[in-house]
Amino acid sequence: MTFQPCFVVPVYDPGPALARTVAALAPLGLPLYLTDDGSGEATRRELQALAAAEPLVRLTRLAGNQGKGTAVMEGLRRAHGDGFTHALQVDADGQHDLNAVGPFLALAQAHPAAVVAGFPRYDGTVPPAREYWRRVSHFFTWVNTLSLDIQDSLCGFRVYPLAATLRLLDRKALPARMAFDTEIIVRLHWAGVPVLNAPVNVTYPADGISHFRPWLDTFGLIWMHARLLGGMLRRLPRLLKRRDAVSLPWYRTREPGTALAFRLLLALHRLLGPRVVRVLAEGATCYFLLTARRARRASRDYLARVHARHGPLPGLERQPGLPEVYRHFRAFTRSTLDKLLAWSGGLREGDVDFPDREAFEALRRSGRGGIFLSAHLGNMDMLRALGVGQGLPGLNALVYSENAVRFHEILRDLNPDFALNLIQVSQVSPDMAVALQEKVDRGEFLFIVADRVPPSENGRIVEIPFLGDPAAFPTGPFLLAHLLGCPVHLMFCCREGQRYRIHLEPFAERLDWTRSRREAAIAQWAERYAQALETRCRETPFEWFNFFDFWRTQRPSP
Amino acid sequence: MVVTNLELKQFIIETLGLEDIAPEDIGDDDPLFGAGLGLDSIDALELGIALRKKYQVQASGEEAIAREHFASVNALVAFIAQHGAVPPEPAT
Repeated sequence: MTFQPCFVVPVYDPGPALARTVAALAPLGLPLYLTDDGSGEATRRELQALAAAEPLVRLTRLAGNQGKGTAVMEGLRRAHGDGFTHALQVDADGQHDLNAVGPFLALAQAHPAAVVAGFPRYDGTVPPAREYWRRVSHFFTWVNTLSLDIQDSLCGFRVYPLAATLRLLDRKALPARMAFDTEIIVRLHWAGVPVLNAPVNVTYPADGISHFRPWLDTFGLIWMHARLLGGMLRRLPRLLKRRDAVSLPWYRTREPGTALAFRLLLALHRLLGPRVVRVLAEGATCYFLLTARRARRASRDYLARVHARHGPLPGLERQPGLPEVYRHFRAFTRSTLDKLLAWSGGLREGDVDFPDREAFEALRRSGRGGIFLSAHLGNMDMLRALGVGQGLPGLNALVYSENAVRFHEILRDLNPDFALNLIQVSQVSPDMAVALQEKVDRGEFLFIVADRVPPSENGRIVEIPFLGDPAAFPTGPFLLAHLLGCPVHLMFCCREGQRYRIHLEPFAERLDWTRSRREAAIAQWAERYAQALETRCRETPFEWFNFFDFWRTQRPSP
Repeated sequence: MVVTNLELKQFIIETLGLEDIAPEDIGDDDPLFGAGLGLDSIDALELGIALRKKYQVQASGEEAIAREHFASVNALVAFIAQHGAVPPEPAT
């Protein structure tokens, strides 16, 4: 398919920004489909003059003011009829930074099937009421698409793939006014059109004229979200099926449910406060229990293994069943929530028991630095968030995945300190190792979760028995510990009843081996780690947060 | 930064703890990795770190380039001559 882009610009009395917009776009040599949505006499004359002076301008006028949506749809139809494949929608009121045009068109050309949706970067001129509305609106968009794929559903700066868009327009009457921007992208998403998000700087020009009618348009938007919610519920089985992919390794699962719930909780936490969120977290748990089939299976399998190896779970006589799966999921939502609360300052250090605090302080004072191995067991963020590490020269968390990075972006929204010491590692390289060595030499500590294999397909792993069957563990953390030659401790922070408890245990002064015994030595260290982890799983079984088939999907692909 | 072939061979043996190998066992043009000396990617990592510390060469970056520089003792000596530097005295 050849890539034939053009611009679609809805115009309704935009003020002096109109001429600026046309003057900025015309040099790009692409046709401009201007649709005059029944503007007043002055704009009308200005448009005619622009069309006469600029051959790229293709002007139509709607009979009377029919709404922005209608004007955009008119432009899209005409552009498609003239043989264009993509249309970049630009508002005429000058709020979008037109420097984004180039990157947007390049993205569309590279991904011709996708919508390229702008998300605004504001310069501080945005009115607060509008910002509040945007948040509510995004929240509903995430619910209505059951995903976070659409970063901003209101921004009118977008590239539409015209073939797919026209299929939708021919099938469905879309709202004529402000609700258009949101509804069209939600419906395209439902139809399976991929959504790419790209930033666009937005400024509300001093001379800009807004045509947002507070009462009528707000009502229109609420009505739209209600209708979309109905549409989502009707499509629920199909939408869920689309997400319920085959058994994937953890780094390939996008954890949409988890990320979604996380965002929702965060949004609600901001809007309504922690108490309401606590109640809603129960709802989120039920949502998981109903929808996350793969996670449910994984939880049941894991709990059965703990039971088989170590006897009855705490306070349970029988074989673990669905109630225990619920309890397991609940522990996870709680942990997520607590993470949120901790980072926003809603939990205090007093909520955490740290029996080995003395040992920890001694370690700190030694100035030797070191490595803390942890796992997706419990909630390591608690340690950092609760200020246990306050005044500690650098607690660095090494994370493997983009998944983790996405979560952390969400947390960073909450607390800017969060991202300071996050290091993303895809592979241990000499540069990385040297940089980490310098940190340790300065007496800093590295947190590494050592229970998930690295995302790259050729990542090094070792298979060792864990809860009864061989499971794959990464060798990277042990190799790194060896290279850095520093002391290694195990550290977990698990919820026990209403409180958190930090568990600290020495692992090794240093991981040493001779070259000829390297493979065997790494396997031995990994095995020791797995054994210690298994002990923790026995103590706090519900704090295990690996909701995927740990024993199968972590194997290397054949 | 000039380093002799012998010095580099001793450095490799020492860094990696190659127990049964003497400097004269390593040919100047023998491949270090795979067939020749039989080093692997973890050795490359250890060596890369040690080289960075001792000669301030950045042996990482593009893997293909690194592989080229690590091809043999001669190649590595040339690489250090070109990019290496004497490290500053460690701060005390």
